[in-house]
Amino acid sequence: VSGGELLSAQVVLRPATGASTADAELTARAIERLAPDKAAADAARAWFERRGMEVSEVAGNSFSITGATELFERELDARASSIAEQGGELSTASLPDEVSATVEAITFTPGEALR
Amino acid sequence: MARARKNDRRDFPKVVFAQASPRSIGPNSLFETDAEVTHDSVADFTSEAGLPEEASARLTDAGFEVLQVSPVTINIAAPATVYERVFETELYTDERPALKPRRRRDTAAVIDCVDTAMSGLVDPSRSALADVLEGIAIEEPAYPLENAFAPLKEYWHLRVPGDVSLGLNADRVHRAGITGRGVKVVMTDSGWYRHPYFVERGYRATDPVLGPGAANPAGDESGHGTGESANVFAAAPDVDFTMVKVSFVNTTGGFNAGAALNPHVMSNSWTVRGGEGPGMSAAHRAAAAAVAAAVVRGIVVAFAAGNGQFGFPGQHPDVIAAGGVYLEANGNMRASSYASGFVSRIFPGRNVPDLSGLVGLVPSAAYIMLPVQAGDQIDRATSGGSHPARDETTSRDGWAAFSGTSAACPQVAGVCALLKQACPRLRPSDVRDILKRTARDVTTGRNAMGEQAAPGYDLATGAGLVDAHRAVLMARVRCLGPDESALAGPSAVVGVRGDAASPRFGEPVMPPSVPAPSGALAAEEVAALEAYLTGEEENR
Repeated sequence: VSGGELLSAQVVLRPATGASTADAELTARAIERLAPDKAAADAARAWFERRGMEVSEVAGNSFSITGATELFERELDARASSIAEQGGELSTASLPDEVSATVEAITFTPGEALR
Repeated sequence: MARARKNDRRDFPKVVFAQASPRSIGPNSLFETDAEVTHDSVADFTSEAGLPEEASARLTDAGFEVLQVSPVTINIAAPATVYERVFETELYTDERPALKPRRRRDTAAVIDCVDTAMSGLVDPSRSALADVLEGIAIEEPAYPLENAFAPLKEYWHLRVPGDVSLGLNADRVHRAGITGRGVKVVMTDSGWYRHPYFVERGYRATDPVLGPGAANPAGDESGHGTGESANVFAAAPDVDFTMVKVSFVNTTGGFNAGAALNPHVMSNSWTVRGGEGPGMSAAHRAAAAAVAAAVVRGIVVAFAAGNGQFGFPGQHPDVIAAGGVYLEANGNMRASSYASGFVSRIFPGRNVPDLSGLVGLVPSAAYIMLPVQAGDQIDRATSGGSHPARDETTSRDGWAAFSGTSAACPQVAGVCALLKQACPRLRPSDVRDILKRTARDVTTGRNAMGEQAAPGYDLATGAGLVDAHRAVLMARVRCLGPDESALAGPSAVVGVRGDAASPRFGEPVMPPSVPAPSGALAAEEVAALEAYLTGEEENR
């Protein structure tokens, strides 16, 4: 990854069952039920990699994508920089159908140190 | 002393800084080699009234930026070519020995002048400024030299490692040989700077790992991660420590990068925004799933409860949530007015914190003197002033007094490491149970959210202040009983479906290779011993 200020977001994947995580219990005793489908997750990761982003392994139900701000704004959402500052989700409209079927959300997870 | 010019290097920075000395009022120039400058003689090196101002004006006209005018010198800045033009000379750069931070012997580029004997001196005698200046001293490279010893301050505060270790009741555990050896602790935070405090104590820390979107692995621009990490070592001095530097735009990515290192314990002193609920955003869902996936692999995950916020994932049901207790100079304990404690509006039935570490009071929680990278954000922000608003240190000394539940969390995480050494097979839920049952109850004070401490569990401090000694005793007793973790079996493994060979995710974290006896006592005997340790026996 090179050029410009870096952005990084989490790509949240749907469970292999196809259900939404919106109402799911996201705890250790239930997390296994939310595991995404391996082939679909790999396809989604590959799609982001082809667009020049650095892609992490899947952990839990998400993987990270990292790249320059311009890359995020060109490939995903023109408002990426401002969304990153305020927190929120990126549009998934640019994703092809086979990827958007797997991707539930692309979200920044902004936080702050607790001094 | 003229120097050979054919090999001179000219690797100048864009701006060269210097101290220009207006002509001194006394018999000697500031730059005469036998001129001794002391408090007795410094008046001789000041100038006639009005001369510094005139010199400053003419330096400005000549193309220099005047940064500061003192009674003895004028601080100036300009490109090297301006010096050469104005003073009709030639500059060059030379690599010379230098002692850099952490006593590292290296070389540094020093700017010098070809036609003077004194290093770094520019002679203005051939220039149009000869009537107002007697010499120009080019600044030499300076490096922050943090001290391994914390500065002494008169207000009540804790010093690491000793006071924090004592406050956690960890000293006796350390002397018994339980120091966190063989236990891997990962902290996710703003970064980690290899401060002399860590180096000279011989703490074991790998180079920091970058989380997604983070940069500059060797530096900690904030100082938060560096400082708070000292709390881990105070509790467990022999852990194998790794910092994952997090981009605070993608905290979950940073957390996952830490979990991918397969630690036994993770310490996380941050919060995702919006933890007050009631619902969860996509960001919260991603963070919650990441935490759950780490815990199900056997990683003990500690989070700060918050400093007046609803900490998230500090309220996740699977984490150990660390609140705050203030330990007074006389040994009394009370709830920290700086720390959070609340009923989760996101996870029904979840009360935060589970227990507490050592945290200061409002307004600034300037309570634990911690090592930071000299001149970083915290070093500057906390410096000067007077306690309790500020910490009374200087802005570039590499030390700052702060705490918050950011300090409590690594303290608790360090104690978790002690428990994992004492009984490697403990599951995350076992560790939390032991910590809560052995904590010292705190019955006075209110936390940042107005919760009143009272006998027994409360939202002000949870179960009270962590007690490493009693917790390790209980861990050892539990390790004598049947190995219930074996019952967990395959359910302790989670991963991407269809990814049977995943090496990074889906594998349970193995405990450190410390032999632990098991099966010497029946479960009932263990329960009776634990009840005896906690005093529950007396209340039956």
